[in-house]
Amino acid sequence: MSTASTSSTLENAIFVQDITKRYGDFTAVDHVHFEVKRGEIFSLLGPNGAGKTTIIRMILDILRPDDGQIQVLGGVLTDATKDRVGYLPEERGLYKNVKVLEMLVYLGQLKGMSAHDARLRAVDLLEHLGLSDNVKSKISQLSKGMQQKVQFIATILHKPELLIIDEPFSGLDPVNTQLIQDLLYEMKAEGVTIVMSTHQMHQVEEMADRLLMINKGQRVLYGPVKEVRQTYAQNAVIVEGEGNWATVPGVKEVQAGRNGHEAKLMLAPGFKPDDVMQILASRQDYAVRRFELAVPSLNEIFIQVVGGNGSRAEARFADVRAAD
Amino acid sequence: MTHWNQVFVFEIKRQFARKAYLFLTFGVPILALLAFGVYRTYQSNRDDAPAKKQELITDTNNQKVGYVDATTQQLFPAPESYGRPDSRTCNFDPNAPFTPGTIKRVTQPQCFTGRITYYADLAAGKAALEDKTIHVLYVVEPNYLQEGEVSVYTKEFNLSAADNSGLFTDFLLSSMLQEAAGPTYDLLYLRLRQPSVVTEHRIAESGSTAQNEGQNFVVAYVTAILLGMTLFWGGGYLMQSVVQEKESRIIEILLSSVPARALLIGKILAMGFVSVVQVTMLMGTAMLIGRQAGSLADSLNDVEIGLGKIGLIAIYFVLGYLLFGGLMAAIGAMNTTSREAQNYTAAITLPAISPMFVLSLFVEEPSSAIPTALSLFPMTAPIAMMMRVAVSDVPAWQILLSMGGMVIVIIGVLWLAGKLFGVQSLLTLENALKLKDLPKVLRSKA
Repeated sequence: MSTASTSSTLENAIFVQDITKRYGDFTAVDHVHFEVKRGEIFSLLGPNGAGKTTIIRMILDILRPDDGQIQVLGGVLTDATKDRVGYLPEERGLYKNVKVLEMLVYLGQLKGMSAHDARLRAVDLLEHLGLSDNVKSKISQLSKGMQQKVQFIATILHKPELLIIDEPFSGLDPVNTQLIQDLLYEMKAEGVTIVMSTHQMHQVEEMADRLLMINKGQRVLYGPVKEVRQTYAQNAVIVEGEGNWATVPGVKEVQAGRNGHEAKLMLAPGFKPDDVMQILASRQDYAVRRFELAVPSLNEIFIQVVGGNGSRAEARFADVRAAD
Repeated sequence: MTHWNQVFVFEIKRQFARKAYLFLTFGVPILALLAFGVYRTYQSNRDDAPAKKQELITDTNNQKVGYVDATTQQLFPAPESYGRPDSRTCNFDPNAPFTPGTIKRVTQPQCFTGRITYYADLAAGKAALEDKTIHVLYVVEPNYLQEGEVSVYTKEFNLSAADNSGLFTDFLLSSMLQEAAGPTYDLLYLRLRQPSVVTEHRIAESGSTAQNEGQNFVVAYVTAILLGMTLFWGGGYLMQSVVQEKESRIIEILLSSVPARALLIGKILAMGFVSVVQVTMLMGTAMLIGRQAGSLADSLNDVEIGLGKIGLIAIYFVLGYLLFGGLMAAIGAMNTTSREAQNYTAAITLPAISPMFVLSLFVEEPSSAIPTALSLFPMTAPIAMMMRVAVSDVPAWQILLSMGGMVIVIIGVLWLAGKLFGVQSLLTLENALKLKDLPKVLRSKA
C-alpha cells in the first residue's frame, strides 16, 4: 500500500475502490468507488434496485465483490473489525419468541461483548428509548415501532466506530424519528462514522455531510450535500411579496410558485441574484417578504438524475469529485 | 471460527424455552412415568388382595368360567366333588421353599372350587351364559380322549377367552394327574403347562457358538432408532431454525457479526444436542418402564458389547448426525418457509433409514453384499454400519473406507450448506432457490 493510500485509509472509515458485483449476466454494481470519512454522516442514495444494499453487503463482507477492493476502519474487514461495526439492514427482524433483553444480550455477545456488559448497556439504552417496561417482554409482544427501536439498540449496543443503517426511520412516528435522530447526532459528536441509506431526502438534507447516489449500479452523484445542491441550482430566485415581478430588470421569465404565493424569477444571462436583490430593495413599488436562491431540493435532484441521464449527472460533478 | 459457541448456547436456550419441546421432552416422560406408577399401584393392590397364592393356577382376571363334561367316562367331575377346598391346603407361600408334592397340594381339583363351575349338560351351561353367571363355557367333547377336542362358548366376542383357557387347562391337568405321586405330579404339571422353553444359539463362522448377538443387536437397533429419531427431530429443528432466520428477517443482522459457517456449526451442534436430550429422555423412559415391567429386563441382562464397538457406534452416530444435519440445513437455506422445506426432507430421511428395511439381512448375513454396500455408501452408512458392528466383526478396511467416505461427504455438505446459508439466505428472502440455479450459486464468490 502506498503512502498516499495509507494516509487515505487512516483518514477514511470506508475506502471503496472500483468495485463490481455481477449475478450471472446482471451487473448489480458497476465499477463504483467512494470514500467515507471518519466522523461524518454519509448518505447512500438511489432508487429501488440501484445496488445500494449490495454495496453495503460487500462493505460488510457478507458478499464479495467480483472486482475491486474495500477497506473498512483501516484495513480489510476481519472478524475483529466486524465487532467495531454496527449494521441495521433494511430487511430486518428479530426472533419473535425471545425476550427483549435476552435478544439484545445475544446480539451484543456476537459483537464481542461480555454478557454482563451487554446486559448493562442494553438496560441503559432501553431506558433511554422509553422501553424500560419492556425488558422482559417477548419481541412478539412489542409494536412495530418498538421493535424498530429494539433493532436500533441492537445495532449500537456495542458502541460501534462505524454505523451502517439502511432506512433507519422506516416505521417510526415523528417523535421516535426525532429520538433516533438525536441519538445519531450524539454518536456523531462522539466521533462515530455513520453511513445512512434512505429514501427520505429531507433527512439526508438535514443530517448528511456527503452523499453518494447510485443508479443502475453506477455512481451518478457524489460529494458534499451542499455542493451537490448548489451545482444543481438554477440562475433563479424565489420571491414572495407584492409587485409586478416581470418588470424587474434582469428577470427574463416568471414562474408561479407551488404554493400560489411565491414566484420563481428566472434571471437573464449576466444577472446574478445579488443584482436583483439590490434592485428590489431600492424600489418602493415592491414589497418583498421572502427572497431566496432557487436551490433544488435533493428530492428534485433525485428525480431529475434518476429519471434522466445518470452519466451526464456524474460528469457534471467531476469537479466535486476532483476536489475530494 | 468465532462465536459458534454463543450461537450454540443461545439456540439451546431458545429451544428449551419452547413449550412444545418441553412438553414432548419432559412432560411426556413424566406423564408416562406417572401413568405407569398408577398402573403398577393398581396392579399391586389387585395382586395383593387375594395374596400371591395361586401363581400355579392361571388367573382369569375376574372372568367366570364354566364347563360341561360330555365324555362318557365323566373324566372331569365338579371341583367341589373332590372335597371341601381348604385354605390351608390350597394356599402356599411363594417365598417358602418347594418341597415334593407342594404343587400337587395347591393345585388339586378342589382348589379350583369357586374358580370354575361344573354344569351337568350343555343346556344348563348355556343358560348360565345367558344370565351372565359365567362369561365363558368350555365343553369337553365325547371324543376328548382320542382327539383332545374341547369347544368353547361365549355370549359375545370375548378377548379374555384365551386367558381363561389357561385356567381350564390347569383344571384338566390337575384332574388327569390325580393318580400320580406327589413328586411325579409336580414335574408333570409344570412341564405339561410349559412343554418347552426355547433358547436360540447360532454357530459362528469359526465353528464356536456365538453368544449375545441378539442382545447386542438390540443395542445396535436401539442406537439406530435413536439416530433415526435424532435425525427426524434434530434435522427438523435445524431446518426450521435455518428457515426461521429468513422468516424473521434476522439473518442479515447475524451475518454481519458471525460468519455463515460459524452460525451453521453452532446451530447444527445445538439442534443435535437438544434432539439427543429429547430422544434420550423418551427412550430412557420407555426402557425404564420396559425394564420395570419386565419385558426388557431379560433382553438387556445379557448384553455384552465391547468398549471398542460402543466407541465405533458413537462415532457413526456423530458422523451421521453431521451429514444429515448439514443436508437439512442446506434444504432450509434453499427455501423460504418451513412448509416448503418439509417437502424435501424425505429425500434425506428415506435413504438414511433404508437399512432398517432390510433388517433381517443384517441379522442373518451381516457380511453379505447388501449390508456391506449399505455400510460403505455414505448416505446409508451410519445406520447400516452401526447394525453390522453390533452383530459381527467388520473388517477394519471397510470401517476406514466407510468413515473416510463419510468425512469427505460431510465436509462437502457443510461447505455447501454454509454457502447456501450465507449468500442464498439473503437472496432467497422472498423466493425459494430452484435446483437449476444451484451451480450458479456454488460458483459465486460469496
